[in-house]
Amino acid sequence: VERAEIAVELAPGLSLRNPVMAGPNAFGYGVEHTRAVDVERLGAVVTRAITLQPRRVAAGARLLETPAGLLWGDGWANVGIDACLRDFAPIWRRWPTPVVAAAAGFSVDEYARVAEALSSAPGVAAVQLDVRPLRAQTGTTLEAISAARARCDLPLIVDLPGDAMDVVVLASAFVAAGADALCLVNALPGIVIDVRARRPRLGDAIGGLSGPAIRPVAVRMLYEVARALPAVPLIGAGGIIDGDDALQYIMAGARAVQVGSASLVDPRAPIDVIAGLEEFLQREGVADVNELVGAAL
Amino acid sequence: VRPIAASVLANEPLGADVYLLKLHTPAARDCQPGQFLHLRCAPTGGRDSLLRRAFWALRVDGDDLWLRYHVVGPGTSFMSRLRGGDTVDALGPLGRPFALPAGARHLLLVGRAADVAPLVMLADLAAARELEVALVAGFDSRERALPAELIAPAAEYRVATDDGSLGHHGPVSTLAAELLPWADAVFVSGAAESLRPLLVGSGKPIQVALGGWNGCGTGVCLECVVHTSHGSRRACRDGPVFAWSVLR
Repeated sequence: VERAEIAVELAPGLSLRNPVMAGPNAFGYGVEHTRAVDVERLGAVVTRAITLQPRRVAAGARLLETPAGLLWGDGWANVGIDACLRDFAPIWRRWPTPVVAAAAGFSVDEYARVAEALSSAPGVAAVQLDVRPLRAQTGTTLEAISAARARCDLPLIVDLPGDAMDVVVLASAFVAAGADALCLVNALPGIVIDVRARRPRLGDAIGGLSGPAIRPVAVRMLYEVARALPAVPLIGAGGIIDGDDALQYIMAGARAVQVGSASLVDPRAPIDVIAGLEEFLQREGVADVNELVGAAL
Repeated sequence: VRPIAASVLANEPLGADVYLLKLHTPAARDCQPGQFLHLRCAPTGGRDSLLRRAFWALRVDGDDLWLRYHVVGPGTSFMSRLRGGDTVDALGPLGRPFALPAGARHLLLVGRAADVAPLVMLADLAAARELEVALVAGFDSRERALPAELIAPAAEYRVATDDGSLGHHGPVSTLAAELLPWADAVFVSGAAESLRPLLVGSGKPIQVALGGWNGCGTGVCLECVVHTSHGSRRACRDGPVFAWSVLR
């Protein structure tokens, strides 16, 4: 093998030069790291979750280190859709790398309006819905996906919650509601208690657990969905630190992966994952990374 | 945000659970008082102790950069096992440093515990510029105090301890109050809240370095956000040094 093919087609209209996406949330709006990271080398950048209105940073602890993981309680703090399109989209437009804008909301209407605004924004290649704010309300979540779909012409990726009980049923429902691709998994809800203070350490009590601690769970969920729904484009996410971690998701059926927590530790982590992936393909004599998608199913 | 390779020159115990880490890195030449290094406190590729820890630069000398740290958990425990020749995964120097106000001749530096470190480096700079500088520092005890040998000889160094085992027995604010009338610029690191009654209405230009946060260090995670009169600001990237007047 001279140099393995690593480009992937994630969804119709969304091709990546390699399967490694930076973010979401952990890579900010992408613009923070332009001096540390050559953005052109990334498969894609996934932004911080964007809401209709600016959301202030919550009081109290917002990020905790847990065993092999991180617990996030950031409450979707972000600058809001208007400032985002004004300040960041012009920068994204100059990049050859696709930018996937993550969207969150607290109502069906908010998802629809954010998705619509992103749909017409220059520099946005796809929209990824973080549906955690509507957690435990499956009906409402499906309405939000449908509403976003109706107002958005870009490829639509939807995160699957890490605590989904029947992930295949939920995945089918998300696709029926209009998702073009699914990302597995979004952070798992978790709590850390300060035993001296006798209360949760995060201001909002519940945070989202990410990092290597959740990887086997996330790989299992992606594996189950890939077996049941082989035609649906899947993205793996959860605790990817190196190329082998990414390959676990790819062999379980993912066409691409998202590097979150590791990007927070080191903004260059996604670049290291790409390098590890290429090394593996070279060493194993694999001509095209797409040959490995679902190889372990 | 710049990744740097730093090699360990020495890792010397300073007292109870307190160490002085001497690193060799070309990045030392860019480092200014009030800036910090963001260190990975786990083996390369490690999947635990994920978050980097921020450590104030205490002194730079050519390509050498010194940090003081206190062993408080698994990350700093890992650091205490570093040996000469080991390589450290670091980002930095990061953050906006202290700025010496034009015309200031008498500098009062007030700090507490681990946060005294950037003031040591500021004292070095002030002494090199032949400014008069007093550094007053509060610690739990003699065991945790910074030895006077580490402070620029030209600086007046006064210590307060909570248990009275060294210097003044009581809060550092008592020492700061004595020197405040003399000072024409004040630099605070740590204990900012306890100094508020003293400093409010003093009319002096005051800069505050904010430490004690734990996060990404690159402005993304928002763990270190502080509310200022200009809105939310990230201590790691917009700070850690802020004008006292903008802090709420």
